[in-house]
Amino acid sequence: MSSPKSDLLQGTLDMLILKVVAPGAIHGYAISKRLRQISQDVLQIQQGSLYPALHRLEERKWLQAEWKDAESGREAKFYRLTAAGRKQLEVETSNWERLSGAVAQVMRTHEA
Amino acid sequence: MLWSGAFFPRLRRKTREAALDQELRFHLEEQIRDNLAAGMTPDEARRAAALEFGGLAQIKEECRDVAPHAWLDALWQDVKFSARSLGKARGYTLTALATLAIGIGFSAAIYSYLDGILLRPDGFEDRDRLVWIYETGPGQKLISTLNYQDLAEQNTVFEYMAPHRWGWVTVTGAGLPVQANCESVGIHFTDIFQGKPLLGRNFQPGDDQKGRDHVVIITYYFWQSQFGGDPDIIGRSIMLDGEPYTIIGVGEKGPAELSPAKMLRPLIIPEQMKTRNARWLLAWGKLKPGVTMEQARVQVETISQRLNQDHPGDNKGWKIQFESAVADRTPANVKQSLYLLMGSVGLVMLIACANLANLTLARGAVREREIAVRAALGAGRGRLVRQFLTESLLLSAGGGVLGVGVAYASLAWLNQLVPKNYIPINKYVEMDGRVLLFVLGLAGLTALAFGLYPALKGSRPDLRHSLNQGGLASSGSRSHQRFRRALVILEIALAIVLLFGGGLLLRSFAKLKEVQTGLNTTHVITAGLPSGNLRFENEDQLRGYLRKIPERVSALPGVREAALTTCLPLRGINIGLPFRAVGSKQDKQPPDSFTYFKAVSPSYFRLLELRLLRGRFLDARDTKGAAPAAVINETMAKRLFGDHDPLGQSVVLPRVAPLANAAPGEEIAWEVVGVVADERIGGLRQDFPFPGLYATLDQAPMPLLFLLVRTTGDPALVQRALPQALTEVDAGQAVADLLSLDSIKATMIGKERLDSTVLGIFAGVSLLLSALGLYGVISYSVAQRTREIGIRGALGATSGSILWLTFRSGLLMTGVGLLLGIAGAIGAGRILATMLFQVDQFDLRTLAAIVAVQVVVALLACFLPARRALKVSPLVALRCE
Repeated sequence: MSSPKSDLLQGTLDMLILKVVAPGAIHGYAISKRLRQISQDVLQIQQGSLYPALHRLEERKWLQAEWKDAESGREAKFYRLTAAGRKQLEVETSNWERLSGAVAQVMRTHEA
Repeated sequence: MLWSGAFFPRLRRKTREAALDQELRFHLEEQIRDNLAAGMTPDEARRAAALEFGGLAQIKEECRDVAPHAWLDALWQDVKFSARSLGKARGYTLTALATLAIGIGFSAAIYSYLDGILLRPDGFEDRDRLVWIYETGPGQKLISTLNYQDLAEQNTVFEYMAPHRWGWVTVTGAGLPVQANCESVGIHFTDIFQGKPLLGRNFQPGDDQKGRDHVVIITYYFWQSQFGGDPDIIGRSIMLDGEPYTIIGVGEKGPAELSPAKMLRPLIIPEQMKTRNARWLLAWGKLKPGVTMEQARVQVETISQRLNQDHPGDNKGWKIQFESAVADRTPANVKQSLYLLMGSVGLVMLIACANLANLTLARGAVREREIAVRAALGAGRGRLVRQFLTESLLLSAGGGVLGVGVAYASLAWLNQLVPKNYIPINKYVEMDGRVLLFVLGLAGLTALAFGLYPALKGSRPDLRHSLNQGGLASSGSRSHQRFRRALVILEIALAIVLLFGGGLLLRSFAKLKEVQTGLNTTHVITAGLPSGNLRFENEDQLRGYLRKIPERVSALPGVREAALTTCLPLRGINIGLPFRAVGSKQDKQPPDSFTYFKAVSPSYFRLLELRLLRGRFLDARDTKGAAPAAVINETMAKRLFGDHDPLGQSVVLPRVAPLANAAPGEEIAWEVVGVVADERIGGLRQDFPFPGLYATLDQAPMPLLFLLVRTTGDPALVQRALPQALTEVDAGQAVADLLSLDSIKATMIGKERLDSTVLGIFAGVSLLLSALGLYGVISYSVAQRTREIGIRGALGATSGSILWLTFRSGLLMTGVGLLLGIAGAIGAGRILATMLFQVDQFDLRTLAAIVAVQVVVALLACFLPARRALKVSPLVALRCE
């Protein structure tokens, strides 16, 4: 019953995925590679968390999936942001900024 | 295809599964490619990718859980699993299904039936406002013309009132003549009992005026049976007792069937009946809306008192009253049967539920270990509960489907089994949907509750304990055991009660069937030959008719003998007259002493094989001109003449007026020429002797007739030819109620047949259920003690002692159940006492028999698991841990 949880909060993972998908259609493997690149290998997203998250976001109609040929020539499942997904990304981004700003504030005050 | 996914989640799951698989594999292969590109060997590349990827199955599972219909998929899995696990426990499944089906089916059918007969016997609207008005006093509950009319004029509480007379008419002009019930009613009768007619119109003012009164409303059923539902029936003319009537309406199906009436015609009150002292009318009323019974009662009482003051001579001792018209017309003895039915089906349902609970608990107990293993392997509590829930639901659903089938079958059977004439309305009771739903729900809940209990208990088990003990009796399951033993004891006790009741009724029924009727009832057809009083102008014309009918019928092929009589055997006395011997003073005879008087064809005695005790039967000698000759029965001979020889003596009876226009009056002295053994004249329960006297129809001509025919072969052939043969003698002769004498005898014990059959079946079912319960408990305890038995065997216990081990608790339960059951049976006997015929309510033979049956069945139920215990090999038993 226990599942390997990523160290990230679930909401955070969702936000990161939405952010990575935002520029255009992209498949699961590319998403995981991209997350690693951007975070310079700090964020190790396990596949065990990535794919259920993708399916969950698709289920919530924030992502839309279609089957297309990848660069390698093989058929892959590409995810794209929906209008609702874009709105969700905005909400989460502003939430995150507020939260991280607040956390940074607290940390600084503590240091002082 | 989209729709297939929407409607069949399984199909969608297939493609979804494939897609998921493809998506994940793509990821893996891309990773391998990148690894290769980074310079790994193919082997390394694959291993590194797989390592990074993690458990494929687990990822898939989590993705699936996200999917819609995930719960449906899981449900489907649960259903499959449950079906498999139920299939493996075939004994349990079959028993539980049968228990559910029987419990649901019987209860739904019987409660629907009771509801239909006892609680909603009719379909009247405003049924609370319908009343039956009558006078109480030293006579029947009828009302006189003038009192009725005064009440109708003076009251302000009734919206409508209508007088009513029963009657029969011969209908001609529509196929063969038929005898039909035709009631004469006041014109508001239809306003009271019937809404709008289906066709045509109701009565209206003016229909009850002389000259315009030859109109008739027929019932829906008569319209169907006699006129084939002819839509153009309105305005058609039919002959009632030889007079033309116009059909003006056809009643609605249903409410009009309150009485067996086929037709309604306006009541015309003859001049000579416009009196205050002849109570002869039935009367009905409908209260005005808003008027309570109590208000009406006060006013009717006031009017009644005033009428008594004004007409003390005619009304002394009489009082006008009313009561609800439709409240309760089911005779008390039928109600008794129905309540008996209700009580016994309640017991059966109780036993069924107890049994179901018992079986399910036993199964749950056996599975304690399975549950523990699964919980140890990581099955979540919710999952386990869901699984047990599914299993219970599956079982309830299956039992429910079977139960509905059983319910409809038993209702049809009940409708057929209950003798028609015992219910006021000839109605076919429909299944009550609400009752069915309620019973289904109840049985479902029982299954659920007891099915879930082990899951809830087992899903937070003391794992170590359950696993270690391997299901050996733990303290928890010991209290479990006690509860289940109590259930079995209850089942046995209830079964004893039902068996005893059923046994008593069956014995009583058998006794009734054996009752000596004093006559041979086989191969005898009976028929009513109704004839209007006015068809014969004089007695000689009637005599001719009375001779011709038996002659013509005797000539039919397959007929051995035919006879006419004024009253059928087993059908009461019809004509009762005061009697005395010549010379004896009338006041020596008790005033209430009546004899039945039957005028018969001389062949009557031979036909019914009455036993001649003295003298001779009546014969061709006893004609119009000869001296009046009579045969009397044994009871009359004893009562009038004691030990003296009755032959040659005379019995004096008043003369019975044969035709309406003949003068009533003088007495006739009948010379006794023979004495016959008594024939049964009343019901089969009647066991007091009744005096009787027979004369020939030639010497006492009467148009009130029944035909008896003894056939040589198939009575059905004769039955078919009869109506035609009779119309050859007289074109206007109707035939009513063609019945065999055997079937008349059978309907007389119809109620007893119903009681004993139903209770007998219930008793059998409950015996079976209690045996199953006992079997379940014993075999469970054997399964539990396999190891113990094995060890005992290894230590040298004899088979006898091992058998005793298993039998002991079974016998103990049976013993306690028997004691409780016998106590209950004594109570049941007391309730049944009034329904029994020549059987004692504490009949020891019956009690002994059923105790024996119960003990044998209990031994059998213990024996099967005991045999299994004997076969336990010590090695297997020790390894089974």
